[in-house]
Amino acid sequence: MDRKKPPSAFRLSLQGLPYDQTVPDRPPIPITTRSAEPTAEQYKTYGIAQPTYMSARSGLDQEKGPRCDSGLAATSVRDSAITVHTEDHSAGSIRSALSVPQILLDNQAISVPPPHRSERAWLDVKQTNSIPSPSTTIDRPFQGLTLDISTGDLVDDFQPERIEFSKRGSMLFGGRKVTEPAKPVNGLLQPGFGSRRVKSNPSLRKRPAAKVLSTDEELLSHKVRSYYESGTDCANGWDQDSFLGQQMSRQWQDTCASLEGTSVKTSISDVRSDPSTADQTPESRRERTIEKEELELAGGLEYWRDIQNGDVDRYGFIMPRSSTVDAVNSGAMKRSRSSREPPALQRVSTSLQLAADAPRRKLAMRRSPSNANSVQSAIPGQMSIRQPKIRITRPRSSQSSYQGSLSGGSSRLRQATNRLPHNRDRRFMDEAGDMLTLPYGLGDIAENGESEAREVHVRRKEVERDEKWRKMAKVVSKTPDGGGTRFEFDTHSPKLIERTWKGIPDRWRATAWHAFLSASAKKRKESLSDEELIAIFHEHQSDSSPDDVQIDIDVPRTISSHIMFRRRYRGGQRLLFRVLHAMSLHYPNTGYVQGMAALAATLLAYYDEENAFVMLVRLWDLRGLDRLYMSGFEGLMEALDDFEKKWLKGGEIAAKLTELGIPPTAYGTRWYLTLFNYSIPFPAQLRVWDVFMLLGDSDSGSAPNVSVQPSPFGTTLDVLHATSAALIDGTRNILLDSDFENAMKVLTSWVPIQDEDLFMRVAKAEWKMHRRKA
Amino acid sequence: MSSRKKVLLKVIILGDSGVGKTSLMNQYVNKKFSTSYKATIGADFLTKEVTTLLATRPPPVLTAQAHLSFASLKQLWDTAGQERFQSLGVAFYRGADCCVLVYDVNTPKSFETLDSWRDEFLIQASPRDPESFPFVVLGNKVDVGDDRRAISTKRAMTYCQSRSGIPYFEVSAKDNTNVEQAFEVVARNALAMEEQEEYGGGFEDPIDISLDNERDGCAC
Repeated sequence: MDRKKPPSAFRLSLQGLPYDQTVPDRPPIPITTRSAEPTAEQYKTYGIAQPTYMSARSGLDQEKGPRCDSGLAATSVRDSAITVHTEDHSAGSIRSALSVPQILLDNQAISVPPPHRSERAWLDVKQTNSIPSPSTTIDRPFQGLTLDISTGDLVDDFQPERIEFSKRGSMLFGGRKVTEPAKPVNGLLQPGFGSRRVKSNPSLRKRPAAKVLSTDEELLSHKVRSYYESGTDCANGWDQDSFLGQQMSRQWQDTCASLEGTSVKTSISDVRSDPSTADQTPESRRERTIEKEELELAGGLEYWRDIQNGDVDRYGFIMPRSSTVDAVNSGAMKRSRSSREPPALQRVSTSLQLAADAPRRKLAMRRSPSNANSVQSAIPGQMSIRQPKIRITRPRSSQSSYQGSLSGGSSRLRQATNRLPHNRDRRFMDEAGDMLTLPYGLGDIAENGESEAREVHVRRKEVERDEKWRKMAKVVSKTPDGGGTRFEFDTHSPKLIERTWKGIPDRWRATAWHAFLSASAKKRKESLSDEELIAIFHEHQSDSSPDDVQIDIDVPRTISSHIMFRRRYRGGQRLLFRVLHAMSLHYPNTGYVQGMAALAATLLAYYDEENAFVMLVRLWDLRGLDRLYMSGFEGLMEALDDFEKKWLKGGEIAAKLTELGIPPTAYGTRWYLTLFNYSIPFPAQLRVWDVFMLLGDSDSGSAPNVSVQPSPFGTTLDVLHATSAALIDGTRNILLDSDFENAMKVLTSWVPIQDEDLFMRVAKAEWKMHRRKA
Repeated sequence: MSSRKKVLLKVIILGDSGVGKTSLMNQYVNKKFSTSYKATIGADFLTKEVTTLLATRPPPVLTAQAHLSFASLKQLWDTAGQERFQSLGVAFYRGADCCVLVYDVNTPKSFETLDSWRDEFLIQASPRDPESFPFVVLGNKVDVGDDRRAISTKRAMTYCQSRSGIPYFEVSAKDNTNVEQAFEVVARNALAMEEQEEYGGGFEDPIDISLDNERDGCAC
């Protein structure tokens, strides 16, 4: 071990290297373990001259005078060379970053777990690591020791021209804004300061071994989580190198101190042994640290501060106010339209928008064969307004191998025969393009002021369906204290499947989804119970995740138009963060991946944080999402490959897309990873999820012959494939006339589905057709 | 316009999560800004037709060519910022004519990862001549203010210079500062690249263009 490096060598190692030299000369040191601040004793042990400021500082510690930095207070008590940490790691990580000399080791065995993690806890960590991540470098031999000494005077040494960068993984001056001269010492708390994260193979970009965080990651994770704990980034700009740095870091430390007082200490050691405290600790901690605002205890009333009741749709999304149509119409119209309108931020392909804006009754005119040939040349990017109206005579299913151009006559014949009962599915697929427009009659209603009657009708219908679902539900357990009733459904019942395709009444949705996934979980012995998962959820809240920073970037922008998720660090955003944080730790090999946030946010619209986590875990374990999200996206590739080969293949769309050179990876990624959250309106997305929750079980009873074409996913993703096929059916007329640019724009666009009943009928027809083929 | 030949330019936008790739692209193409674009999953795709590209400011290297007034349709591929989505990148990167590297001037890490984005791109896109492949670096979010700024203009310029003179712009998607100008250079360099490919590299070293651009590049 290269312990005897003289201090001057350390200084040298901080010098910038020309870019070209970094790669050949300095192979990246594979891993950074949690770096520990060496004590004076360690310096002696290693034969390293102890920096002078350090002894000065320990002297300071002994004074025990009033200090703002509680994290440093205990340093003087340490007496052994190796097991130096006597405090919990939150304080430890802050201190180590503050104080500075950092030892980066590439050999995990050398890293000593802080003793505050009880032996058992450490074992737990090891156990969860039992699946080694491919890039784990634990068994690589020790290659070197880097000391990273950050002292105040170093700042002066930096010259812009000496700053050099190497490939990621061997960053020489990571994270520091050393060029800023007026940097206060407390600026050390900056993100990126501290240890350099060193990876074994930058091109692999795989996760380091789970839960072995660098000081850097640990520190950042703590910072981010403290924001969500306190409901604010109280030290606004805490992470910036501003002149307020000193003050801010004091604020931060105060927060930490108050956290430390009782809860963190107990949570690390006790929570693991006592699940009951696990449930209470985060709650009590929150009570202590969150500054309540007026109304904040009134169950989310503060969300409504500047929002009126009528401005929010039934799912909680805030409707854009600009539309004059909405202002004129009564509530029913608003409700039926609003959530279908693309959120302002969604990019809608021009062609799709034109198709959606064309009233459906005018589409009827397309049948005139004289129109069929009138539009010949489509200027790319400037689709004629008439096009969507005219091109309906095209066939049909994305799976259909029906080829060739239809004359008006034969298409009329087809349309006529479509009306026969046994051709119903074919008709749905033929008319799939209509899903982009409002259902028949709804446009008239808007004009004729019949919306009142319509609303009454819709409500009555919904009550009827509620009743039907109530009859199908079987009460499993009732909690005495009004905690809720659990229901069960016979997931093999054809009636249930039929009704689920028609859409679960919103009142039953949360119950039904949970029951569907629980039914799948029961079939598998290894599945954890709700209670176990909830306990895990709370345990994870006290651990650091390397993904916390990324999660923090994504949380505010995930579902910003929903009333619950508008307040930074509070309310829904806080729940979303906590759920994703737990997910990133629960699946350490996957970690947090963008796209998960969309799923968690949808679930949080129906569940509390604990159950949202339970649902996500079940989606992962029982609905194939673990595979879809697998590191490297091999699973996603397989799924998209399945879709191309087993669903699209042979159809004219497949031919067209092949001709244009558009593989499913170019458009399907977001469809599958977000389960269509990114691409279709919320009500339509919920309808897809209804069916996916029920039929996504790979050994679902409704699957007649599962083993015909073996796929790693089985039939799990069939509902998603059918939905994708339906989306392509809905846009087929546009796609078939598109060049590469327009096809790409349509396929990656938000699809403004207005008639989700038709959309689901098309999806079901595709699904059934595939079953027959299989 | 009808007489003009259409050239397709493929432009890839890369950079860390949250630096504003989607915002920049939408500001450039749609002239719109929003604070809350969702995280990009996979890749997004936009096009912009650039008609007066060469008519206004022809780069010296290309003046000799006969087809000065090409209309060009620019394909912009917005990518996901999270590292692990790079494994999906291969399909998008290939055939690119220019690569835009974006960082956030207020976030040091996003600047430090520029090299890894650049390397990753060169590995995956495997252009014929990696040394001369046109990149453009954009420092976004300059509207935030000097007190929060982490990467100085000087530092960024130094970096770009050391990478064989990549053109550098400081932009703000929010205020629409410099966005148009930056993408004009992107288009011009992409076009030069496309030409070079077409004529088998019979052109002069494109570094000339880069140096030229750098002068009108950053005036901030």
